[in-house]
Amino acid sequence: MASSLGQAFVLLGLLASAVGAPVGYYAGARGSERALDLARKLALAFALSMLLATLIMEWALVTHDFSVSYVAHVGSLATPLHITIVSLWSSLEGSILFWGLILGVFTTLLTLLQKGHTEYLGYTLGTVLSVAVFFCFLIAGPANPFAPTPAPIPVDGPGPNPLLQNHVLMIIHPPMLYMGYVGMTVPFAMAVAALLRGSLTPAWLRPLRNWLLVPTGFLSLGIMLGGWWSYEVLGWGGYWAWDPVENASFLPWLTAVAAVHSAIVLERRGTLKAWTLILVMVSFLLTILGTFLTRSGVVNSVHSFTQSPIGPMFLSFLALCLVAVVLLLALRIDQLVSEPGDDAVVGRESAFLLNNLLLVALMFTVLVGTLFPIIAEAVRGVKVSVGEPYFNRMAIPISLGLLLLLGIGPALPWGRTDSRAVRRALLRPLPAGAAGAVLCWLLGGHDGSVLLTSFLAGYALWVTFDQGSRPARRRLGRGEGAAGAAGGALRRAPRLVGAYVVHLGVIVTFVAIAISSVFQSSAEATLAPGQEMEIGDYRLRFEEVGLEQQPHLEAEKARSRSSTTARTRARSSRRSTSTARSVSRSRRRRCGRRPHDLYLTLMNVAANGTIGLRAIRTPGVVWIWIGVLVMVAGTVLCLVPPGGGASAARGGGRRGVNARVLWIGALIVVPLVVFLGLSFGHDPHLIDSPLIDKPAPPFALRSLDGEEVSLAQMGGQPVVLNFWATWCQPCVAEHPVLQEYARRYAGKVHFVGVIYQDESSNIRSFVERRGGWGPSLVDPGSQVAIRYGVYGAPETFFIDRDGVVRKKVTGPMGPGILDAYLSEVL
Amino acid sequence: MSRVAVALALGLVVVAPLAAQAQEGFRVEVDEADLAQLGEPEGRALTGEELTERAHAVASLMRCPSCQGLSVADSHTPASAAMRAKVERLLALGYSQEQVLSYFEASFGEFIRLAPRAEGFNLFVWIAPVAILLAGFALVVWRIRSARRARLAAADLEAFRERVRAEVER
Repeated sequence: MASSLGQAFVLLGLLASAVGAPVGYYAGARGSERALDLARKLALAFALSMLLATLIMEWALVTHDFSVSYVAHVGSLATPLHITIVSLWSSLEGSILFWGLILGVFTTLLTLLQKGHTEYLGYTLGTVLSVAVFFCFLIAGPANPFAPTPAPIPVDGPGPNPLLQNHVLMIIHPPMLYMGYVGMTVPFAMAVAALLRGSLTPAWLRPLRNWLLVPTGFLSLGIMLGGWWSYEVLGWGGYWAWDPVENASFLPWLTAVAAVHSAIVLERRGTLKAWTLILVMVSFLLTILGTFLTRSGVVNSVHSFTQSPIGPMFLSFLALCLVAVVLLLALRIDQLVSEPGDDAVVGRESAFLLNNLLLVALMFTVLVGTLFPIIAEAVRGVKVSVGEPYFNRMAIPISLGLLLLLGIGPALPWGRTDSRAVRRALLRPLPAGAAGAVLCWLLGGHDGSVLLTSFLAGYALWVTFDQGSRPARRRLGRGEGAAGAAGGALRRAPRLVGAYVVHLGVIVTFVAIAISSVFQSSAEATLAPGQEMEIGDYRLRFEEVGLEQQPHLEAEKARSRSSTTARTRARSSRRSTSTARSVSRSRRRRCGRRPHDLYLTLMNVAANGTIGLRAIRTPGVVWIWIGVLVMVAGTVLCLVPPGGGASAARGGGRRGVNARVLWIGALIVVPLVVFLGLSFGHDPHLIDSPLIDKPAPPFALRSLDGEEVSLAQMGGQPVVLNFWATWCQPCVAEHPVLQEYARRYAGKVHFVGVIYQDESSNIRSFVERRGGWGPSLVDPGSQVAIRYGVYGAPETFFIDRDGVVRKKVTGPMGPGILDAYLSEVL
Repeated sequence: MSRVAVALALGLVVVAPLAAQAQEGFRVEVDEADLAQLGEPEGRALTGEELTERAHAVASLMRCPSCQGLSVADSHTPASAAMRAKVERLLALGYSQEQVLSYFEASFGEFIRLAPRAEGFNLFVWIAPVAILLAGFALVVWRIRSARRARLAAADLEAFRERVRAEVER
């Protein structure tokens, strides 16, 4: 029932958007009020269908209707209600439906809130609904959450991904990012409308900028919450790892911020029209690229999503959008003429240009770094990593440049200025910068980069306060009271004040990132109950280990008590494993007053009652979240409508196709799509071993029975060397296969197992229960695993009688592989 | 000289594992096979705080084999702990950062390096962003210059017109 009803609404949404898109374009082209009215109604119909489809899915989830495939996939009777509700976005199909809902919400807001501008609105609705067609198509076909469960219908399900249950941030962080991603559709559509009309008037720029600010604010929030979640849950004490999925959310944010700034120049001077539109459209394209990277499984990521059939769909959609954008630009770029008048690029304007340059260069760097593993695999056939060291080395100088501009840009006067005025404006904040650096030195930051950061931050802070308080100070000068002046400034110039609030947030975030990365410290210890360890000025005392049972969640919990010199604080750290799925993550739990900068990870609990505890102190990390929240607050302030009249419309430049745009566009689009397309079929987790056809690294280890086994004593017989563990499901799965082959090839091939990251006791009891297939070697300190370059378990090396590695298999082996590879070494 | 270094290194192999054992709970061995692969130490033997710092820096350039995207320095899997210990041993023996990274690369492949080695095709990832930045900078400068030139030219033209008008009127 729910299944067919849901599908019906999705098809209705598809119909409404598929009809609405051409109607919208028609309304735009002909200026027909009636067509526009119809397009509005169809847009609302699309939004309503999405809402109803989502409600039906929620109903199915809450009532545990396992006849709906998505519910059978993520639902479970034992899951608490609030988790069941949010499991809508815990897996691919549901999150695409959720995506459709958000697009519906934005479409509704656009249809109802955007008054006037009928000449642009038809094209805008047409474009939004075209994007809606794509998403409805995904929901109706390749990622259909409403598909009926094949019989027999299960009575219970596995429950959502345990990560979702682990932390509240996992519940709120994806919707924020989705709002940012999906919300980019609206400014994109408005930019496309401006291009289709061949003119961008100031009156259209203003709503465009506001609609751009909304998703940008959500992206800021989503990125921050993602970092916070990483810090709280992933258990390594960091918040940003330059992971492909994190980068994917950062890319559109960078171009959107660049567009917000170039729009200011455009508003003031009437220049940079095409450039601003390009930035807006690129932001949208990057959200599609980001979704592709996140969902297609072509890159290695912490936020591991499974490979899904929608990867090629997203790539096709991305390619389609790219081609459309390039063609549109080529056709219309010459019609977007700059406003005549004073187009002298001096003073603050050049700072804006540099700001755009640095933001785009940073975006390009992150993009190249993220995609390079795919490119290198296509060109060289080798897997390479591009990780934190690369991004830090490349991005930090650019970011410091941005911080510098954050200071000098707003200090510069607009328009024509003489160099003496410029010099005076730039010299005035210098003492504040010096004060920042001195303060940093006194606090113990002697590192060059952190000193530079604090100098630039002090400088920028002074300028930000000076400029941001200008409207209020003007009012104070006119004799208004302090509160009245501040209120009046907020009312009359919310955008200006809001912009500087955003800058303030950026400065706070910068300083917090610098401090937290320079002063981070960590300590590890093995503690018996009652023992203490120290980190910074914290002393941690381990008290007891307890076991905690939750529906669907079984957790080991270690309680420890810490004391600083004056106060006593209790805190606990626990490691949780889900009974239903093999995903396990460490996380800490708040208990009493917990210092925000201390991170505890319970590494292991030994049989004798001692625990391995890792403590990481990251001072100032909380200020990163606060800084971003300030940025979001400033963004909201920027959206408050200020007073002011619209200026006259303008348009009509040269008609025709701009060949240059076509060439440049093709140069960007073709390689991008080709490399992304080539990435399919490569599993990012399969890494070729450089040991193939090289002598096998020697080893001499003791087996569980205490007998010494070495490669040298194999006496001219081939060896099958298998790294395995009892915690590894694929290893358990291939165990009987190995038993069978070890028996069949007894006397001809040595089958040798090496224990990978597991306790000897586990292996011993496993072998007692299930039988073995060869010696199980204890590898103290993973020395042999390191020498063989083992990335995980199971991995199997086939060594021929001359002691040369011939083949390596990652993952479990079936009889087929074993037959083929054994014949190579025999 | 280098012979002495190797002899010293071999001597240290005997002594140092005890320290490593106390720290990590197992022996970190550097045997003949390792020495044959590593060649002669190109750096200088590190000790104390400097060793800890360098070891952390080198470990943060390596990908933790069994995690996703984390460095060996940040991860706390047993394999990463073992790799950290080995990095520290090798640095203590005087091997350079590049030698240590190459040692691990020989068994794990290029994938183990979190920052691609700047050579061959990999140069693209290092150079392309810088090239874009420089090209963009040139574009911005050109734009500012040409705008200024246009303004000056306009001012010149105006002055010329003014002169012509004055001439005609006279």
